[in-house]
Amino acid sequence: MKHGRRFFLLLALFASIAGPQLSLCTPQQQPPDQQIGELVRSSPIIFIGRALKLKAVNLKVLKANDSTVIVRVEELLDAPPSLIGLKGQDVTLQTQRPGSLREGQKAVFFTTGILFGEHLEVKENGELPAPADTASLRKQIAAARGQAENEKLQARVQSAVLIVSGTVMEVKPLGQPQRSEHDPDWAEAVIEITSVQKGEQPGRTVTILFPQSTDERWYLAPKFRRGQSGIWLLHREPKGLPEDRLTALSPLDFHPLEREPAIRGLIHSSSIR
Amino acid sequence: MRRGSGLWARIMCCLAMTLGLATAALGQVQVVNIVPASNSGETQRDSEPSVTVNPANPLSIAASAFTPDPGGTLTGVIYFSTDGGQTWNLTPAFVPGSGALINCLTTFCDISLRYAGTSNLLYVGDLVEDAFGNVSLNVARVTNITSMPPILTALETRPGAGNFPDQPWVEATTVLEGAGTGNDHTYVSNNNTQLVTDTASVDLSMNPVPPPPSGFNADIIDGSTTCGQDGPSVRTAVHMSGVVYVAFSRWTAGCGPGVKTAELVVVRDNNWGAGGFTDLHDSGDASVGQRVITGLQIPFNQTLGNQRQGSAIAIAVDPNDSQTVYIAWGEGATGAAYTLHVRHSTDGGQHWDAMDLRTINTATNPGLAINSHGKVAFLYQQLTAGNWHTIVERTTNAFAMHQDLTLANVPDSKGSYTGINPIGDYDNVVASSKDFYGIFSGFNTANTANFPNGITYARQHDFGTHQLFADVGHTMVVADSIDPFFFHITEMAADQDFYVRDWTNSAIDHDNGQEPSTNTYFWVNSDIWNRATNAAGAPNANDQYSTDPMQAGVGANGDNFAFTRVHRNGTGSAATVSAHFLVSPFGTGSAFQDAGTDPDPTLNFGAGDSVQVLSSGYHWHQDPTASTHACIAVQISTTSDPFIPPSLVGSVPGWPSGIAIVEDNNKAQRNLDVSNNMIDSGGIDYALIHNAALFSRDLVLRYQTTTETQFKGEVQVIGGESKAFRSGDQIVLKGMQPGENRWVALRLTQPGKPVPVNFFEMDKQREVNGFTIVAAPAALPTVIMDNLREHAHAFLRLAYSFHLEAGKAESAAAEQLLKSKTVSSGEYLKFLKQHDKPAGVIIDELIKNQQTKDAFEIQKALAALEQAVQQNNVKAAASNHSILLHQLDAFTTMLQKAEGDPADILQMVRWHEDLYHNRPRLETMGCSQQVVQESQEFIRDYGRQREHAEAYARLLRQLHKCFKETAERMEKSHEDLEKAAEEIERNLEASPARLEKVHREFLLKLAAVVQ
Repeated sequence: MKHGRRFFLLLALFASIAGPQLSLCTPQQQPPDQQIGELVRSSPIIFIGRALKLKAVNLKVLKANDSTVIVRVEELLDAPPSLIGLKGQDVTLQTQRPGSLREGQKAVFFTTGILFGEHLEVKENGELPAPADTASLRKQIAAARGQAENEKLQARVQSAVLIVSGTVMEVKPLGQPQRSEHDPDWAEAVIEITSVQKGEQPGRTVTILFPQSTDERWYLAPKFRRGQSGIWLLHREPKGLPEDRLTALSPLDFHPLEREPAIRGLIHSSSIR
Repeated sequence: MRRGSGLWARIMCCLAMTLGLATAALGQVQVVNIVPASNSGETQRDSEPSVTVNPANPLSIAASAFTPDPGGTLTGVIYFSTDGGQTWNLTPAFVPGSGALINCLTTFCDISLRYAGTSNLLYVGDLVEDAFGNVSLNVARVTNITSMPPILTALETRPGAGNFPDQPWVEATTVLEGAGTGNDHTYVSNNNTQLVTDTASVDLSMNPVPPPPSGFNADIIDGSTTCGQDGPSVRTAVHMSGVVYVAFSRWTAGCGPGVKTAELVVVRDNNWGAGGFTDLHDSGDASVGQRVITGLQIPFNQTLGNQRQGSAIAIAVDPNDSQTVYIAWGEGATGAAYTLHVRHSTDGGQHWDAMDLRTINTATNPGLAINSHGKVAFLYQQLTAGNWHTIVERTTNAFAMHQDLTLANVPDSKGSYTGINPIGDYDNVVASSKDFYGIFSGFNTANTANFPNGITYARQHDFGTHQLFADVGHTMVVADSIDPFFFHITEMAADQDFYVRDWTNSAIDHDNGQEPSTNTYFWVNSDIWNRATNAAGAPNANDQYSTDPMQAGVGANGDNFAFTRVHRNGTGSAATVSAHFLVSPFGTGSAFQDAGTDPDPTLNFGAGDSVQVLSSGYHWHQDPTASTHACIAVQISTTSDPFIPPSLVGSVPGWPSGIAIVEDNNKAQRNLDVSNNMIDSGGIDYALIHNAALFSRDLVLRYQTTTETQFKGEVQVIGGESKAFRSGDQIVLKGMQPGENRWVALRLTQPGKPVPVNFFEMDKQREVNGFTIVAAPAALPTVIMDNLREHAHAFLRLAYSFHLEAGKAESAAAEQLLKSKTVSSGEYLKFLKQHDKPAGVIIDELIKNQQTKDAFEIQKALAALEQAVQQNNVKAAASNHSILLHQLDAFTTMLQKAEGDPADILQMVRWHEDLYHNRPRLETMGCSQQVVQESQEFIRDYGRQREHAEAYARLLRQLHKCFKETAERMEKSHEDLEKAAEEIERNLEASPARLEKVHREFLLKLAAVVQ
């Protein structure tokens, strides 16, 4: 089974965000959402850890210095899929402020992975005191991740020249010669339009190009089949195509019909901006 | 800087090369899944891998695959190992990737890595797609992969859109000799689909230093008609001599959808690519590039199992022989019928095997590499019964026999990946010294049965349950996927691999036995040295042994003792290492000969020994007739680690034979020649230029100095052209016959700083051999003592070589003065006043007796010496005395060589073998087969035996009838030839020198007739 891009991404887009429960500096102060959000965005790996040994490393290619601390991961709050097994492991932490940690100290570490060997080395982007209950922190992290994903989708909505809902009526491979193993092997998909969310109605149908190739260059690009219904965020990319050709190359460019209200909401918020 | 004088240190670099095989131990292989433990949860498709070993430090290895940053960024990462591949790490994300993952699966792809040589630089080629779907080819270099983060410097970016330079493949090397020594040469072959046709291309830079484009120029290497383009795989093979091959698939029909028709083409450039890869022409239509095979069917993008096919090429050149090159390619009417083929050429890609050396059905991803002993490794992935079998075959005899290792036998599964290319479009095998290193991708089920030759996993696994886990506690099962697997085949255990250091800079910075050697100056501080007495001496603070000049004289005065220090990088077994010492004259093109006739000495290694110094020097003697301007060499061997054949005996260092010293860690060489001259006064030095070719040619010498010191100088061919010294200029020795000797003089005023002048023998635009003359300041007393030593030797040499008995008295007088520890300026002037005239008489008599011109203008130097002496100008006298003695030495050598040269025996045999083998008028003669066969046997056995003179006389005794018969059949010059053949017969019992002389005279006439 392939894991999702964010193992701990628990909330759907537009999920409501729980109120802040933790402080940046002391347990008594509550951290503003924005600061948590920024830390989360810059930190793919977030965990609660305990400092085991100061000025030490546990990768043989590293040399210990004032900034390095061996930290045990006691609870993993968020990490990319390949690092989901970090809980219980010791990592080398490159602290932001040498001398700021003492042995035995427990904290929430917002980090970036920088060296992957027999152990992991992470660079600290920020630090919070460890909370007694992590549930609300997890929610904040998930919300921040969701917001980031949401912004990516919003960017695609903004850059789309045409957003339509409809059904694929026909798929026609172009059969162009392939000059490279990375050639897209373009096909046309004729979409019968049921509604237009953005842009001018092009007619009853719109014909778009999509890559049939599953080469790494086009692997993530949505592939379409006859009878498929959904909502398309259509762009004029990549360069080199005739100007009137529309494509939906990003995984964010095609969604099931039930996402139509959400897309509409993004279009609306984009136009307000 | 020492006062008042100048030191001339002349350094000859001797290079020689070989084709041959050693009896390597059966290869032990280590296979390692390189996914680090800390990335145990990963399930990506880590495919299309590349691997490279740092020649300067084989423990440092880098590898790549489609592995994204586990940290979740969109910036690329590279695997690296610091322990020879046993354990692996992923770098911090530092390779610029796509700005956003739009449709591309990975942040950067089509990755190719290559370390150069001594530079320690890692070159990276890859494709990156931007947020708008535009693809660019990027080339960068990494200065230290283990620094955190590594520093990546962009060298070149070639932007594209729908079309772009595809599938970059990087090869790189550091130049160890000739022009650009110390520079990296980097080649990025690619299929530039931005072109309308003839898309096979090579971006190359002779010195890839930022800013971009860092000297990279794109060469289009396909000059013939294609049906639209060439295939995606364009591969290069780079030889240290500057010969570079490029292989590609030229599509000739079917460029639309469907199966393509193609021909496999190899182009070559003899000068690092500077000539645009036009040195090889098709034997059929004379177009650029030799077609290896035509009519190939390419099932482009059709699949074999789950893996797409369509463009699979590998090429490798033998590091010991730039003319031996192997190629592998894939073809088939369908993807399911995709088949690999291997063939080879031994003449620089002109002719290829008519039949396959290997044919592997249902296979793809070929890789080829050739190690320092000429052993070939052929890597491929074969689909059998639903499993990918990754196999490496190794051969020492062009696959007549081969040892096969199955590295993996894993299901053709894709895991969560659903694309067309699960294991990637290539894998990679490379050679470093004697060993092979490689990488491939395959399904990663933790089952030892899938890895018949063993496997190591760093990531969390259970070989019992065949499961992978994300955590140390094995509670989080991870799905199987595609992983990169590294392998290392040890061809010779470290305790069996003995070597002589080519260089030692300090106790911690020295040669560790790498092949090729990693320091451009391999003839200065190598672990071979000469002593006037039988005492090795002790190394200095930098762990270097000093050497004495070569001794030549009567009795003990001509005794030399050669020493060597031998290392190995492992212990555990006892061994006996034999050392064979050789000597060659100073200059370019002259062959090595045995230093002495005593049996080879041995060094006995106990099981725990890693180094031994020859305890008692190898005694060799040079009689008074020999010049002291020379270099010595050593080649060591054990039963399990012989030197790479052929022996250095009879081999010419450098072109046309090769570059044996740097390629074989069993061989080392060192200059012995040191002489003195005066600062601010004229100095002169001579080099012997020998045409080692088997044909007449204009020999071009290019010269340059790297110093910024200004000085006046002159380069002169004795009896020929003379011109003012200008760094980078060249001088031509016109119409040199095979075996002919000429002398080139460098005359300059010694400035206050060292002045190294490099001379390069050129073959077209390629530097193929050379020597270095270093002029550096020294003290007047040193000049005086050296002049006296040289005076004693020079006149004794005349006495013994040409029966000029008065020379003995001259020599004795100098020897008498040398008995004092120091000689004052006054004593020296007094000596010169007493001896300039007797010396002049001897020289006059020499010129008169030999009935020759004073080509070296010795009498002019003598007059200058006399004038300086009369003026009591000791500095000028010392300078002119030194010039006189250098001239006299070169002149004496010239006169000796004119009487024949045993060092040229092998060249002469090669010459007549070549004539009878390749000239139609001789080839058709009945006896030609006998000449060729017996000569080939002689050539083959030459380095193995000591009795060269006897064997030579025996050979010519067997062949002279054929020579006579040849002369009779030639209408033109019949009588001249017949006389020359009779001379051979008359001199069969004569000295080897005399026999060589008449043999050469016969061949000169024969070559002129059959031209």
